[in-house]
Amino acid sequence: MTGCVILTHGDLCLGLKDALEGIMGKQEGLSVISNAGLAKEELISALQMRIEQEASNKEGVVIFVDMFGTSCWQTAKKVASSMSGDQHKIAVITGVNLPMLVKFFSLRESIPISQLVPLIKQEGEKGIRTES
Amino acid sequence: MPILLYRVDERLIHGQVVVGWGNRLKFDQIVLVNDQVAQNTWERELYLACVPPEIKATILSVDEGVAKILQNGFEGKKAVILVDSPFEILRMVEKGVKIDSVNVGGVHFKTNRKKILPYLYLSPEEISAFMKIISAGIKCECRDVPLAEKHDLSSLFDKLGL
Repeated sequence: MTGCVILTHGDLCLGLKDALEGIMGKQEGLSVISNAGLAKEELISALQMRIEQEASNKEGVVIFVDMFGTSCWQTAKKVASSMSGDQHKIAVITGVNLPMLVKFFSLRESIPISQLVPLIKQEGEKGIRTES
Repeated sequence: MPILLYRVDERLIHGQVVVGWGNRLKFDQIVLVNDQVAQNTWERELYLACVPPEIKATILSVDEGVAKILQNGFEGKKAVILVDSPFEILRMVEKGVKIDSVNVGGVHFKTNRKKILPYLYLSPEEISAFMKIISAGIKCECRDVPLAEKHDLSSLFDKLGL
């Protein structure tokens, strides 16, 4: 099974967790972190701690970030490159949305992380539509 | 006015700067001045990836930044200078850069830092560096995003009895 950390600006991570669990019920292995008010080093160590937690007994961890090019993304990329290895694989995906999370939590027990990441990216993109 | 803003922001290039200040000031160049980032290829690439293609980004050491500013290297541009602490500003001023005012954005909580504003926590060393900048006649205005209320750092220090 793959673990999950959602890292966002403000309380978006809490809102996403709340919405997801409203749809799918309470989920194990789901951590959230906000970047609000934390210095760079503090945010890095908070994320490292959550990954340690989520990685135990799991095949890997996906860090979901709300927006590319932001402090959340920089932190995720730094931590992923320093912690990813043979012991656990860490992937970062940006633009987190609800369809992506629903797909992730539906498949994470049956599919390895390497196949899971492209699938949830696709699902996140498919979730963006316009009607006119 | 070639340099639109000098900003102290520990996160350097990130959403508040690119989106928040970018939309307001319409700058066309971000100049990140930091010795450590200038020397580290991985970190340079990380920050450069955060800049949209229509904005030019440059990463310079403090010495390179000072040289470029003193040669009027940003004439005809709309540039912002980003540093992550008051120490770089102080070094730039000591090396002859003329600065009227500094925008103070996010310097966040960590051990040994005292709360000044919700987005501004400073260590004793950082407080004393800002005090030197203020004594040099440079206005330090705290504002994390353009639409937020402005706070004069010198008055905040007075209020806190610093």
